[in-house]
Amino acid sequence: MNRLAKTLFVFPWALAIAALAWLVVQRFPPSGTVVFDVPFDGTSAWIDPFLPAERTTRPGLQADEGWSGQRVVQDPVYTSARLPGVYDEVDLEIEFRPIRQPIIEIGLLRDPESLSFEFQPIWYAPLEREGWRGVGEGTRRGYVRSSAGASVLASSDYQKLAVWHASATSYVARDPSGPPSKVAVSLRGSHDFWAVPAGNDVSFTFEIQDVNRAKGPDTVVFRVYRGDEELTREAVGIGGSRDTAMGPVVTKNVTVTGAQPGAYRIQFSADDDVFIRSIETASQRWVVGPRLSFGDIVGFEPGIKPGVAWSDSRHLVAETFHREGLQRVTFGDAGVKVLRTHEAFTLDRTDGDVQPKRLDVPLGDMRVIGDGWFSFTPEAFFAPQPRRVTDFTDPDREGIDAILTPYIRPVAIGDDWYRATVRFAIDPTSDHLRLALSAPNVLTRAGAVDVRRFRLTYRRPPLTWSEWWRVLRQEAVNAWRRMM
Amino acid sequence: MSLSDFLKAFIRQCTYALAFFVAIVLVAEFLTPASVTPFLDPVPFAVLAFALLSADAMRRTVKPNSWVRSVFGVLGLAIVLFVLWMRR
Repeated sequence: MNRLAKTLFVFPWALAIAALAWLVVQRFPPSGTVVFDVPFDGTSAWIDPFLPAERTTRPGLQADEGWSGQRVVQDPVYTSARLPGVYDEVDLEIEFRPIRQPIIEIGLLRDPESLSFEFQPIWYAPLEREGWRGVGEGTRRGYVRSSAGASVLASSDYQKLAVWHASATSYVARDPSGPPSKVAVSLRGSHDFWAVPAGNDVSFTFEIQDVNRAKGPDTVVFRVYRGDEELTREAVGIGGSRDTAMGPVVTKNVTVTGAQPGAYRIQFSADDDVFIRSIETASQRWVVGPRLSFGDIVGFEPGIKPGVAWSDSRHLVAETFHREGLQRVTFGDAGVKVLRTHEAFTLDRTDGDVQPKRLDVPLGDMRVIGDGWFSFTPEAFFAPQPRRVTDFTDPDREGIDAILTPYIRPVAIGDDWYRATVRFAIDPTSDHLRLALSAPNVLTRAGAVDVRRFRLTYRRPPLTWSEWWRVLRQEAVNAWRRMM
Repeated sequence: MSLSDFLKAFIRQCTYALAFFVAIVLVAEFLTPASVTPFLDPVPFAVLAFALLSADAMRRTVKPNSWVRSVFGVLGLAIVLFVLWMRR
């Protein structure tokens, strides 16, 4: 009896140790892969419902619809996935149903300080239509029209190419050198100028003026870039700290000698107290954008200086900050009356023409932001970068033959539901994945994004002794960091 | 060893094994939040271990009194049931 009793006394301890071992295996799966296939109804411990609540429906059974999940009706919404340990990457599979929403992206928070997300595309309605095929050209992936060749993806013919979470081939061009030409303008504050070299140089001469409507000195910074490389940087101080009157016109030249063929960006950084009064350059092709701020000429010249430019933008927003700037703005076949100050009014082109259209701002004093670039003469126009895909992009009307993107078409699973998978690298020090779902302008379309299921597949290498050590060490580091 | 003695000893072993399990789980959960909870809810186990340990300690130290035992037994059971009901 005593022998049998002692044997039986081991049983509860064996059970406790087995339960602990089971928990350890859940935390440290030997295969290095763990999968959570969870309904998105607010019941899972592994992923939270989308927030804020006013942009979504309550998670769970959707009474009128007969499906269980959560409906997103405003953009953006955020969720958080609990990490089951130290993992290197996650495959995020989402079952969703887009309703009147052309574009959906899902992103992972990379920098909490700047709220910077790494977004990946999961849905783009125009590419679901007939006539597009997925291709890979070298390291480039994307979609081209059935009638076009795959080489369009690697082209720098930016009129026919759009990008979405991808980089295109660098623009390569050079024009013959010629005499400089001067354009009288009245541009207010910061602007980006893009130019093709004339001969071996890129040279711009700006006449700038501090109008001193706000007290204090002003500094103008000029930076020149080729691609992402900063070539030069120069700061110029204009205006005195106690000046209140209109400052003198100052001339400043920015030159890059021995310029390689390409598109150069001259970034002019200043506050709205600084006006550009004229621009002189030998470049035959140069544009401004995507921000163009027509200023007034009060105190500089009598009268009114209308703003005139040509742009390939399909969509513009116009905003003025003064009553004198209230006016009708026209852009191609589109027009809008700017009725109130400090309010953005939109202009959307509906034509199928790919040529730049004329923008008229009769009274000036208007800030315009587009999805393309602006030139002050039609001949000077060029597109220094391909257009980015936005929720307003219509490839058919805009003459786009190719879209450079890592986007993979989601799998249709019936009843307008789709399944998309994206992969993110994981920061090993994280406890949670902070995710965002972006459906731009879904509210204005009266659209929605229904989400009913997530499948989270976390991966790291299969467990070996060295991998055990690495994972345990990282777990200890993370525990120590949490307690400190 | 009589059957009664065996059962008392067996329940004591179960209590200690459960307390050991709960202690490890709570330390793990303290060091790494959510390392256990998504797989297993430790609270019912912790409450049960606490009640059993209390009963065991009481049995060893308090003079046997059927009234005290009954009151604490009912209270302990009520706490366990209440916590389970709250977390259902």
